[in-house]
Amino acid sequence: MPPRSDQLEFEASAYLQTLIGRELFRSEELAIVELVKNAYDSGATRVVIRVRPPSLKEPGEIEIHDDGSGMTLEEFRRLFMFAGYSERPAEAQAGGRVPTGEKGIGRFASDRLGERLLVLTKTSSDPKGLRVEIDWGKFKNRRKRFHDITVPYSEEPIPGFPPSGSGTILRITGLREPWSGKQLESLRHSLAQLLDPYHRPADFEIDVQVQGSEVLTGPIRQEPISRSDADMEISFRVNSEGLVERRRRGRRYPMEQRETMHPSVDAAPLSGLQGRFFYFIVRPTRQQSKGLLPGVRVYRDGFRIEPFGSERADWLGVAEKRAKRAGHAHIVPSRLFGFVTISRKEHPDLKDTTSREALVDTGAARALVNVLREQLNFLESSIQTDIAQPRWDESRRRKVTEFERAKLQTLSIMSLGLAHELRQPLQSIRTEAAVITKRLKQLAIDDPYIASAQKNIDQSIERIDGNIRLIAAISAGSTDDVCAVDLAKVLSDECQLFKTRCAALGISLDTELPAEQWAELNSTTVTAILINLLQNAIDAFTEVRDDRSRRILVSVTKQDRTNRIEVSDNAYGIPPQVQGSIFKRFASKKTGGWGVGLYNCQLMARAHGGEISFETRDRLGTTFRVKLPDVTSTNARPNPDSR
Amino acid sequence: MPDRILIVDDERLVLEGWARSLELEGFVVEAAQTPEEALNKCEEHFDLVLLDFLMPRMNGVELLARIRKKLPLIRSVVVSGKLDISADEKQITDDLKATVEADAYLHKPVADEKLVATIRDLLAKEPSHDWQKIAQRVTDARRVTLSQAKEAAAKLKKLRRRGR
Repeated sequence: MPPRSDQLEFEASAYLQTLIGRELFRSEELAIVELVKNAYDSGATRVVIRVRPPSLKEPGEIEIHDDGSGMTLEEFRRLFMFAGYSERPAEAQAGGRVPTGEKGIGRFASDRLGERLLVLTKTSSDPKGLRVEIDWGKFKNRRKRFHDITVPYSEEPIPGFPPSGSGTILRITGLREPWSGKQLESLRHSLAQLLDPYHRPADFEIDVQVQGSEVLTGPIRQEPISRSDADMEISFRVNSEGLVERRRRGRRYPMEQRETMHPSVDAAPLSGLQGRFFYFIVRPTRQQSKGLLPGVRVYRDGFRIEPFGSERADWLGVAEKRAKRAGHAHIVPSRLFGFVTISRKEHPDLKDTTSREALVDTGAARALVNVLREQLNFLESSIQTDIAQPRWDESRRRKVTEFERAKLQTLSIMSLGLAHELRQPLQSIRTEAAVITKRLKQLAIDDPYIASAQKNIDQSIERIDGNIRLIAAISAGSTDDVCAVDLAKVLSDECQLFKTRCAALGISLDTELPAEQWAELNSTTVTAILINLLQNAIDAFTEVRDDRSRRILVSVTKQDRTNRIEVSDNAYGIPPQVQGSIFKRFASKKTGGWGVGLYNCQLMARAHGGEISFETRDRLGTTFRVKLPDVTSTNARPNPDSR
Repeated sequence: MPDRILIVDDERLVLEGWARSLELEGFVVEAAQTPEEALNKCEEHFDLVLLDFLMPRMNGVELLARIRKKLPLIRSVVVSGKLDISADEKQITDDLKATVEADAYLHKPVADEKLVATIRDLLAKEPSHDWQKIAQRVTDARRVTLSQAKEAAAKLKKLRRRGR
């Protein structure tokens, strides 16, 4: 077409190729990945990447060999030599595949790898092949126009291809990188992550052969992660009402759960999107993570889109959230693995950028990010409620238990020491009281008052000693020695001790006890509980101002191996505001009360497999009911820890 | 002749109280506040030793063993205010008998009547020991020959039979 006088034309400098090939692709690995994708688009079932790293003896070479459809001279001219042109996706679907490339610049990626490119390509119909040699160095000239640079070619038989075979070999020489072992390992890793492990493209194998290294040679395989602590599989089906269906399953959700929900953004461009998320409570082993690095990846038609899921891309803001909210953000980025699958057909609005990194910032791309963030928030809250919270609760419970145990232990040690300290003076008092009595007798003063005084001193000392033992026994948690006890006698003895005190306060302490009632119990428990309940009943009368006849009644009954002890009083009853917290610690409203009495009683009763309950009526009185089952020594040993 | 009782307790008030009480019961009482003092007093004869289990420098069991070397036939009552809630008096007594053959164990604070009754009880009985062990103790204490010890044991056995 002759130039028109009233129109201008763009002309491209040859240097444009350098800009695209050398500078657009971030890394060599990415360039190889791009060439592998081109092979896939040509219908190849197998791509072999042969690497001969440069050494002192030889210059080195990378060869990418595919068994795709190959190109005729005419096709080569139309497709390969026409920069920025791509027939895809509509015209060039080979083997029913959705093409991965659509920009028409992938071929320049080889410039990133080496100075010269030799293309050997052959179609199945043509017995001869095409040989094209390109020296990318020629394009460095900024003054020359793109089409001024020529590329020599020849049509000739290609060794390595049978007459009816097809395919393409890209041989890159003049390598720009040394291709060290580390670099090659990284290449293998990139290639392994190139293919979606869940929707692996059918009939497509990648094989890497590195000269002189067996370790780095072999087909590329990537196992999918199958189970984590919290798996979530989502699949978006946007129905006519704009609802999104989500499916969830995982180790913590044995049953698959399906939900539909309203997305906060217009999810219509994302319909058909699928995602799998795996979260590990503790850093997963290599075995668990199948060697994959953490991150949420995006795959389109089986091929990964960089940089999603790479260390640099916190595209869902997980790391940022964690950094900002630490303890409140439950997802630790290094334990999250995600695989999001999109397709060119279903999601035409999700386009790659030209550099093959990330997606073009369209409304659909923003919706993708928003929707996935929403899903992660959901995963996060389910991790919190189903996993983190129960773990926290458990650890808190354990801490509290340990603390209580430590406290009891301290108390136990103290009370054992205290017991020894207290018993010395008690012994002295007791002996001296006896001495006084004996001496007076010797002096012919045999006085009943003195005798009963000595007896009282003796009894009081017994009681103090009993309390010392009790405290020590409770704190040592040894309230679990079970023996046959006559409950009727224990209660009657105990009430006898309180009778004098009650009488002094104008309270009549009555008992309704059978002649004997044998029980398999820990008598310390019974005594301790009764002392507390009696003391409470007596204290209850301090508020009573009217002239009612004050009564406390203690009774015991037995039914089916359960002993029921009742302590009733006819005082004013327990105020409603106290009732709920009466068994809690430090709940006492009494002056001078420690507020641990009923709390301890309940603990002891429960440790014994029993329970204390109460019934109270305003201004009429209260009844405390203690249920203590018989403990058969072997199978139901009371557990002091149960509370 | 009244029975002679040695009381050992590091707590002065307890020691004095017991001494007074037992004197009033008609015993001859010697009090020692330390194990060393007790051992010195053991140069004389005692029928029974009443001693605290927990004392500084030497515990009651150790002291009893050493007293036994001097007075092999002495009866013993061990008293302690130490609290061992896992064991009752009878069990501790049995344990003590097994280790040092203490005749009785009592918890502090013990009632005067109980203490006096226990002491009278023990003094009324023959020392209830394993005669072989006593013979061994005599051997250890006096550094006699084995044949002499055997003789002593035989004598003691006869003595015991006669006592019945």
